[in-house]
Amino acid sequence: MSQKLIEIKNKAKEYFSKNELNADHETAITLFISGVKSANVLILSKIEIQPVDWHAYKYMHAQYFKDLQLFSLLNRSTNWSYNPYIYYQLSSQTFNLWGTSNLNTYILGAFDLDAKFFRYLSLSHAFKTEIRFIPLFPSDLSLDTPFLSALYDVEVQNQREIQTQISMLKNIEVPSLTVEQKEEIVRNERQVVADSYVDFLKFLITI
Amino acid sequence: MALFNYKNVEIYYEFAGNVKDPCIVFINGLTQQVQHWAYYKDYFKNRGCSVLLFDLMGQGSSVKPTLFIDFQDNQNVLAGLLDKLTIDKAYIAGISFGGVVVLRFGIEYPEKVKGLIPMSTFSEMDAQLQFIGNNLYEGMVGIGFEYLVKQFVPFNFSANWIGNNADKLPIAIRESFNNNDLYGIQNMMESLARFQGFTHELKQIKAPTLIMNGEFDYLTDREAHEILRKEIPNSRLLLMQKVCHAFTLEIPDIVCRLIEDFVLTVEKGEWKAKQDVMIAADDVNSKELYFPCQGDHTRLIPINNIKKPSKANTTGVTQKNSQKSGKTKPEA
Repeated sequence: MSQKLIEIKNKAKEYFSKNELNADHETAITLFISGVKSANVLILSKIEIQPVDWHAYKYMHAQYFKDLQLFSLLNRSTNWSYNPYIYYQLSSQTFNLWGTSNLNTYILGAFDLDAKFFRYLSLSHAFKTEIRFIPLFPSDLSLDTPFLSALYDVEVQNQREIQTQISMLKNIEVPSLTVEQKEEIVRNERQVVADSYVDFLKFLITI
Repeated sequence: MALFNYKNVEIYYEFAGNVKDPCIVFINGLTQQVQHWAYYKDYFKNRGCSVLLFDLMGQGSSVKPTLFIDFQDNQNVLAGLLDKLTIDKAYIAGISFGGVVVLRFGIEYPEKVKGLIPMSTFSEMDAQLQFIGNNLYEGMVGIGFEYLVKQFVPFNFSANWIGNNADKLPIAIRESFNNNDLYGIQNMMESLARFQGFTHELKQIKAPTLIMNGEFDYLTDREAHEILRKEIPNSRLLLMQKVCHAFTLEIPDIVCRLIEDFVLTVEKGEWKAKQDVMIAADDVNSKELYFPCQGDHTRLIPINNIKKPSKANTTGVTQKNSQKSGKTKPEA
């Protein structure tokens, strides 16, 4: 974990120890997560129309529908803000994330066992592991609200879903990549997601 | 915030005290972090010792590799940290997963060891421990991280402690969920699963070794610790009364004074344990620290103390157990 990510997380923890979640926070968090989940859903949707190894298909198919379900559940649970600035800011941040993570490159064309697929797996692993909000709230905070319980479900489900990414990242043979190159890709994609998350948290604690 | 760079990745550590004082390293169990040793850090830094704590790779604020963790890195990280802090030799204590690191460190870096304190740990996995490990792993990846922590609770703590802390447990479980990342712990568990038993190497450990085992530790049982006692020549097995796997959290005051006694004894050059078995006093205020175990310490049934039923008396009358006094409280 980078120093700046640790620092901003600590600031966010301090912030949420003093400030209760309001509609602006909920809206921002939901839009940020939705941006990530909708991108993953969009990318995974293509496995429904291309030939894929059955074992891999089974897990990616499950992730596709689970992400869709959680994305809609979170949207339904959110107290939406009336503040247009939140929507403007999140549109801008989501747009930047699409740019820095090259999300568009994974949407077109079929998946193949190549460096691009490995990069997608690394990126989606980072999405599901780097972006966590429950740890930012006090440990004794009750999660018994629609939004917090949905947010908790998203994080717990992310931990289950990454088994797909973990299994493939560890086991698939990509002839064009050495182990060092694989490590490098994983590090880079994590950094991209972490940077985006840091930017988002900086905004979140100024609301 | 102190970070140690190992192979271009960051290891979080905390050091308290003076490098010239005897240094005690405490190594985390699987889901622990440096904060779990806060009591120990305060206790020893006020008693002329320095304390080194660090999060293992995959834990807390240290790096969490996505692909693989090599178990060997744990020992290398500790050796590198001691070098960085210019500490030549240290007492290495650790619990459970951390206890395995303690033992491996004792084998691989004997020149850096003054004494070893492996607690609730093992050098090989028998079929039962393997089965439990698989269940814990499957529960974690299939259900979630909090489920893993909940599975550990009855292994870690006595019924009495769980009952007395029922209101605090949900918060502690949430904190564990918040402070850990499933994939990091998963990588640590997988590094252990790839790991081969090393009982045959234990004889290489020559350093004074205090092995501590909870009376009701059903995760790493008596047999696992008995193997350590039998194989490590300069060792003592100390049985902790009425506690389970994570006794360092349940009775830190008692554990601290036992470790303090061990360090003082070794520092004075008076460590003479030869694979003996002692029972730790369960009262932190008792003058006596521990006393010799009289019965068969490998059994839960005190088999040595039971008279075989005779024809005239089939109720099994117990013999009077005279216990010689052992070590008393260290003079601070």
